[in-house]
Amino acid sequence: MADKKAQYVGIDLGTSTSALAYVRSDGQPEIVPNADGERLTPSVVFFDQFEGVKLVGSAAKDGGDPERTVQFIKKKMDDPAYVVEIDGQVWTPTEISAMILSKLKNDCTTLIGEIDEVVVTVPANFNELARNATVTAGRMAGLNVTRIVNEPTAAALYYAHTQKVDGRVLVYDLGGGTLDITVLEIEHDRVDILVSEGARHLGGSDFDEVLVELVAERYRETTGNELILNERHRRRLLGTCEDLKKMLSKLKIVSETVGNDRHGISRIELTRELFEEAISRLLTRTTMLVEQALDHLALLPSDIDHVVLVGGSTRIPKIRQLLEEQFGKSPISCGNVDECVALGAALFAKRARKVSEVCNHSYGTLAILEDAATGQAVVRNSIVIPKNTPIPCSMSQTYVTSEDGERLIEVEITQGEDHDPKYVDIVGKIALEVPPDRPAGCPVTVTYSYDQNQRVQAQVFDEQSGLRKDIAIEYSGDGVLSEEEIQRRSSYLKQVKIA
Amino acid sequence: MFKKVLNAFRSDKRSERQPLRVGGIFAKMTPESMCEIDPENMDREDIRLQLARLYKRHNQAASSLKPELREEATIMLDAIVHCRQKYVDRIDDEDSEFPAS
Repeated sequence: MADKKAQYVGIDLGTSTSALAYVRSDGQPEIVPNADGERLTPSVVFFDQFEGVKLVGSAAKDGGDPERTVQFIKKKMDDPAYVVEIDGQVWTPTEISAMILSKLKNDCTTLIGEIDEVVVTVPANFNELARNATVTAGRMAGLNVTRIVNEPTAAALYYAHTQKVDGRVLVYDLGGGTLDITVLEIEHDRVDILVSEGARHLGGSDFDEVLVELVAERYRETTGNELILNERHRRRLLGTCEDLKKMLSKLKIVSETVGNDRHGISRIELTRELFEEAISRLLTRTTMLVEQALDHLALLPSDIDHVVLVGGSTRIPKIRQLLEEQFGKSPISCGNVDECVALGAALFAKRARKVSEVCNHSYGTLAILEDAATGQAVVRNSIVIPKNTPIPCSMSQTYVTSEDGERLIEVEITQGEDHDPKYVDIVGKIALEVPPDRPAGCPVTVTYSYDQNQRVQAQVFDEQSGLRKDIAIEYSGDGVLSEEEIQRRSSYLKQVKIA
Repeated sequence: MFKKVLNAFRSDKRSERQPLRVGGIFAKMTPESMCEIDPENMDREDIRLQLARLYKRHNQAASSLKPELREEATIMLDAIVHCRQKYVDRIDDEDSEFPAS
């Protein structure tokens, strides 16, 4: 086994669970179980106090101190300030994700051979920071992440592979932490993404949190006491509620015994109707996101040939019902909704050139827009690459300098499609020094290039002087590792026992 | 019509980029006023379109790198959904608790 190498490997690094798949010699993708015999590995890390071991997966999820357990870390991949501190040591979301990837790599290598190159999936709405962090996590786990692919794209590829369908497909991907809506065209083995919209904090773990509140309220009504007295209680209840949610997808009424060591136990009853009512606001957000995707393409629900469900949370009957009402047709499950993203990622590793993706964010610069008629000036986010442009791409906009004698042209790179500067992020800045004594109105061209992994390069070009400057966007914050830290922490992670 | 001018941010323009402070400004506002809808003078489709526009803005802001903007987006998304259910989907929302109303 040692000299064998696995080709075409895909990893679904999920909010709740992760999975690794590869393409067999017969061309079919297959999930590779971990060393615990599970096809899905819970994306949970437990920091052992005594032996320094980092447990990943079910062992980490099922027991142990909640203060030493990290879960749903994927939700923090786009937060540059977020870190976890355990025993005085600080861990970034990238490092936690690297441990999960290490577990998958180490376990699966024993079954399919050495894994070098992989495709890793991310939610369609992941920003560049989170995408970079995912690639870095792979590096730190000893993997060469050749491509990042959006989860709904991977799922659609798997769907197209297994169902042999053509037409316009809407993929409704409701995972553990995010909702992605992707509309795509499938023609034979070719997949063209038309639009991809996403919502953060709209997934299974958010439904679980709603159930936690509901159960705690029921307990309060019954006993007059609080159910959650500390973090340990909350974590335990969260696990119970995840199970209750799954049961409520199959049963209309469920009951469960809950309690704590101070106030005793109580049996509470929940109905599916009550659960659906409690999550109705989250469900309305899902409906609005679907409408947003259709509006972008000026499509009606009837223009969609297939609605495909991906992600464990699509098992909730109300979600199917809402989609059926919205589209006038039954949504179709993408095979195993928990595994199709990993399976599709493996297929993507083999067939990436047959898939055309779009950029998931708009990039632009801040500029004064001047009304030539009135002379009124207003600062706006001027978009250079609009969201949902097919990638890879390179686009330019030419502006003019605003003042006489400007020596320094500063271009602030924005991420976001809103024209109001307040609602976009400044993700980089280019400062280009230009010759003195020039009048206002000198043309300057800003060019952005967007690669297949949704990485952005920016260039500013002063036409008069011929001077130009390029930058790749870089982020800073406690949760962002520098290149030097990545090297150092990677060496350290290699010595950490991950089980 | 518009002329684009580079090098927008002279020092006097910087204040325009500062996000609204969430707590204070929304403290006594209703979801309707936060979403700038007037149910008595707007029909259902107008309200739907206004809410869709706001949803797009604040759904994206929920992933912002700026924590205060993410916080504002969370509050706004609650208000948007409240109005959507009440005026577009016609879900009886009388008993629901809305933090800002």
